[in-house]
Amino acid sequence: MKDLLLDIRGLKKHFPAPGAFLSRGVGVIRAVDGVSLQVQRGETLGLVGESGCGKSTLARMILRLETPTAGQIRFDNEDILAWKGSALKAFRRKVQMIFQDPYSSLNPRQTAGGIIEEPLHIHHHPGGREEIKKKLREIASVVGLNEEQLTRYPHEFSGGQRQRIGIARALILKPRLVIADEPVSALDVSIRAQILNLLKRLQREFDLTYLFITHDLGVVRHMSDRIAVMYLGKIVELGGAEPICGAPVHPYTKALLSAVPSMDPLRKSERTVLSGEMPSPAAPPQGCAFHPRCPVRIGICEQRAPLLERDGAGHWVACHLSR
Amino acid sequence: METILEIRGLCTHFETERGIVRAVDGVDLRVGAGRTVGVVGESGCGKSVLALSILRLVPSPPGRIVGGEILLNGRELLALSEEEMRKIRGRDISMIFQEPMTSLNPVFRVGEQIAEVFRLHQGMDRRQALAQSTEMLRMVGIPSPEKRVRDYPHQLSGGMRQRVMIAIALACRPRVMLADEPTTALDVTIQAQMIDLIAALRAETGAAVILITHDLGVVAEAAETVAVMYAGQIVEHGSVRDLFSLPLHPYTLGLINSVPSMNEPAGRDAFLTAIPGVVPPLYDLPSGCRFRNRCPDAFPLCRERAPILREIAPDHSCRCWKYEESG
Repeated sequence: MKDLLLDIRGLKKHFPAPGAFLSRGVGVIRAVDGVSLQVQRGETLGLVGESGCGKSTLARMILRLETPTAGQIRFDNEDILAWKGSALKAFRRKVQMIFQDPYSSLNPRQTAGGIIEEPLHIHHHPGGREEIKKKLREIASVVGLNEEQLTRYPHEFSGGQRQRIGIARALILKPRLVIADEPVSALDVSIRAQILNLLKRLQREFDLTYLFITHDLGVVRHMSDRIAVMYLGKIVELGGAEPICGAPVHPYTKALLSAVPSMDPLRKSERTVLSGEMPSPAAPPQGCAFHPRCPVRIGICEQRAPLLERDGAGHWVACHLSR
Repeated sequence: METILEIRGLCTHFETERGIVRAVDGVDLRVGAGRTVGVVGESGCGKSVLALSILRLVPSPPGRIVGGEILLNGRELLALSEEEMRKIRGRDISMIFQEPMTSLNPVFRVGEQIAEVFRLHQGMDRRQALAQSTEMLRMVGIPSPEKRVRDYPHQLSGGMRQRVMIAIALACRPRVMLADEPTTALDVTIQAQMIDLIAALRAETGAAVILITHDLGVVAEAAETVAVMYAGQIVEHGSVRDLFSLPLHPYTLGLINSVPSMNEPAGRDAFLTAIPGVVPPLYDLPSGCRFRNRCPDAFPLCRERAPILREIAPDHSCRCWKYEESG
């Protein structure tokens, strides 16, 4: 691999699930169930899926906020799961997160400036007070906040401005990898475009690698070089953004794309609406996890889970029918 | 087309410490039987206050409907007593809220929450009402409704809860259904199910639907006509077809351009055309046109005088000086 930054192999996270009331025995919730993913330096990998598919748990494991049940995570060719103490702290400086909700992810008692520069204090930035302030002003101007605004408190800002604060906080340590978990979902349409543009510009400016998590297919297509589609703890399709959105192979990806409401009033009819809902990860169906909702299932889908397999063009699909 | 609900010049204001907030400021809207009108806008544009005003549920104080008329089949709702209004809510006009988790009562079984509507508005006894509730759950597509009526809200998924909300809203076969961001909290595949469900039920009951949302795609799929709101006023109104294929108002165009396209490849260098700035606070609006600070096409007149909503093409109106003939 030419320039691999993040290499995830066979990653699993199983949570204990309480059994039925008064019953003995504890079930297992397979939140992430055998995910392998590679992220190249400088690329944006979009991770899409509906709520409960395990995409946020995956992100939390990469950040070492959650310990995997099994599997491997290598960052810059080093096994991050073995790290503790100062090595782990050094790693956390290189991987930062942008959160979904700009209202609850900022401390209401800290000024914007205090919030943005806090990571420098946590990681004992060697520079003195002057240098920290200089870094703060730099990053603030990059994300579009002026100096006067740095003395204000979060409640004085709009949602979009708060998200700029969150982005500045994530970037002040000059991280290598930025995990953005639904960074624009809570924002208004016109503000969303401003923030997406900002994220794209910053990627260029700081040579960032993004893991972009979202349920919004339009946003993910706009932002990503490659896209991974998750369903019930597993990746069902992985490939370049254009092949995934233009010519999806997995029936779940197809259904997701056709469910996106279109602004083109002429393109209404060809929708496949999936019946049912995603099953609970505590009781996943036998065989292919998608088969109960799949419009094209065949006999084997109920018995054997398909493997994620690669076709000639580097497109990965987990479906019995794609072969 | 038979008009069911007609709103004329509605003004709802809030008195706050910072001044008078004109949340709804002269809104005209009409919706016919079996039709859906979409109201789109960003947060703070007044679209939810519009819905609350129709139901006369604006918290007062600080809010007050200061002017206009709301006619339901020609009957003026603003003149009714609170007692009479209470009979109308849930029976003639009902509402589907955004958050099915917070809008359902967690300590009552869902069946009883639907049954309450039947007991209140149709005087059914408990058993009858519960049987009807089971029927409603079946109608909104909940599997094994006989079992589900006895579930509590926390036992249902988000999509199922929203179906229960729709069942409650439809229980009395209302003439008007107000849906305030009915799909926003749901996943896309469930959202698609809800859009289809609301359309099917509308066709079956002949209700008029007012669909309030920030999602342009949802409106394009689910409505026939659209009103775009900005800072308390409708800035553009027209059929879905006209408005999306030929948007007139610079704000509408800006909104459409802000959404990443699903039909075109993006790539590294593709940036969205964002609308600069933010929605102005409603207690401190700019002079003249309320959008002029963010408008790419603004010229001196926009600062001096507020434009009015005027028909530019047949059944397509817009509030913008750009389309006034000079002279």
